[in-house]
Amino acid sequence: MRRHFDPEALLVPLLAVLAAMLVGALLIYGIGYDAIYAYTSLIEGAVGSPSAIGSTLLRATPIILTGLSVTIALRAGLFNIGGTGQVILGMLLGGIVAIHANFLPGPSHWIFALVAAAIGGGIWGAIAGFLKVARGANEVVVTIMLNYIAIRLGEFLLGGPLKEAGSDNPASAEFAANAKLPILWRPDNFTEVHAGVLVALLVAGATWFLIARTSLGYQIRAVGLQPDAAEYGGMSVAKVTVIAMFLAGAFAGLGGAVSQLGELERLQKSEFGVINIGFTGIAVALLGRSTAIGCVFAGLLLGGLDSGAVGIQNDNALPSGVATKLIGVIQGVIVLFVGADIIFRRLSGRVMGVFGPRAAKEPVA
Amino acid sequence: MSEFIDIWIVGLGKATIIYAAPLIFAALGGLFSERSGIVNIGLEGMMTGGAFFAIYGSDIGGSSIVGILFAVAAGMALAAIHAVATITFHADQIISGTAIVLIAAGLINFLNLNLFGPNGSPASIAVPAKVGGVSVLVLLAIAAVVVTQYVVFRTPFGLRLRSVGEHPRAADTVGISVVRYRYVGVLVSGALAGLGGAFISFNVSSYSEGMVAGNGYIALAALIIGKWKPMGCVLASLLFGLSQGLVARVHGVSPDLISMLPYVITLIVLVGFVGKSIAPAAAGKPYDAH
Repeated sequence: MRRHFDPEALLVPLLAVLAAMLVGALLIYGIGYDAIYAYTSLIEGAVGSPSAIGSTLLRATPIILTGLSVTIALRAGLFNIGGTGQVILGMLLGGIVAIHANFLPGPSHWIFALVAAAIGGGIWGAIAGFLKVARGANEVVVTIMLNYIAIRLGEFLLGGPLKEAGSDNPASAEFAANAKLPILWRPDNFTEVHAGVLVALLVAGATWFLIARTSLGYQIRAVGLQPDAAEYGGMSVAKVTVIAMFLAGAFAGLGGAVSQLGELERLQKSEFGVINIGFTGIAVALLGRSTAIGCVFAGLLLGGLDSGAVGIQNDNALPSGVATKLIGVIQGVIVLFVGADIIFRRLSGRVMGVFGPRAAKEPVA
Repeated sequence: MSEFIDIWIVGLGKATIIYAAPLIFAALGGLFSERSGIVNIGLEGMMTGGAFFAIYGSDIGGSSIVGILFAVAAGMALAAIHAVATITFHADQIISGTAIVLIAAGLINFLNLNLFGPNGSPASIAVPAKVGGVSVLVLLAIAAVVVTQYVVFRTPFGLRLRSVGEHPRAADTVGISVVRYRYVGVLVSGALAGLGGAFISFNVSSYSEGMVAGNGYIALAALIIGKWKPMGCVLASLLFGLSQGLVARVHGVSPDLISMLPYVITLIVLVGFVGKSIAPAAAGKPYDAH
């Protein structure tokens, strides 16, 4: 579709990030701190040392995957707000395989654990797709409900059936050693960059290929742009919708599993209620303009912000705990401005004329 | 026998009302917004704003009235962002709503840390009086239901509000300002969601991070199950409140499974087995007069 270089594809995300950083700076000055110092600490915490880069990669990995999840759904005209639930199903199924499937030899154990995670998340996503095409249920509301059902399901399982025998803690038994993702790089003793990074890049590449170079990808785009025309052209909108939601769920499920099998020892009941990578995936996908390559860069950027919050914390550039909240605000403002990108078009139309005739292309009811 | 009455009638009834009241406020808020044609999945964030500012206002104002006003203002301020983004700048309503949730979660807890410090709000916060353990704000919830029913379905204002949500072009043609009515719908939505949040924090006399805990989304569910009607919202909220009340009282079944019920019920309603629930026709679509 987009054969020529489109300046807007880069400018809007860039302006959104700038606007968000500005809002963040105002908040920092508002509480009487130095924004320049805080942002210097943030950049150092994101890319200032091998450890910082390692930490940024680790934080980017799951959100690139959840970003791709939102992206593939958006391309099919669906808003997947169900990342949280799909992440949890991925953690649960991947976790069960990682704990119990000890018969799997060598690296096949973690590979199968990831496959199980993808299938678990995929099924959770496909449910929403199926309910939409079979019963006309809005996927936004359905996926929100499925998120909470998944949280309760995870808490229920860890409180009982999956709890380690003989333990009082609401946590599972340990993952088998073979089920842990291989470590690729150790910039320091606390930072272990695992193979999940490669999984995220691989899925991003596959997503690009799927969307741009395959018949299924063509169908997904057609259904996303003009479902009636796609149906008229002989495609099954129902089939494409379910497949797209399955893929979206599978990517999110992988996003949940890579961090878990790369960085944690076991499943914990307390972790399900605080999962936010599903929502961050929405920010990643929007910032990445719903493209696979865009998700990689957006994921790295937001992962860097997340890692930078730790840098702010370590430098005491802001009061304890404030940095992560600030990053939350910045993420939200980015989503807002990317979502309301007409703001930039109107401004630029008046001030600079950068977007030229495109300024006239606002949606018409 | 008296123990049975205490636990299952009085206790469960009280718990149901305490859980249902915030949902009623927020669901009515959602009703105003969606009836005007703007989907509001930012309710959760607006409730978070209300929950914090109710406590903050009570603290600095020394009166729960100030707290209530602050909560309403906070909900409306967040709603104003949603309104400007979606109505004036045609942002996708789901995306904007998501942004509101993210911004509120970050901003409110940012303020909480900076205004109250790491130890949270002081212990002596003025909260609205309680009768039999239930805040008198419940009366305000009941009033909100009656007023909403009357205003939205019995006044010219309500007719116009609904008309911009069903067929904005037609409303525009007869001289109704789609933009103005949608702004009003979204702002009222924020005010009511703020009150819902205030109920939650006033109930425990303090604010803590994450305390709204998905109530905004359940309110959205109550709105859908209630078929965008005030009494429907009330009944759905009471049903959800009841299921929450049961969590603490039913033994032998995992509380996690019981607290799954509202969401499962919503799914069942959504897929149309309990009568179709149809949203206002223009909800979710931006309107441009030109």
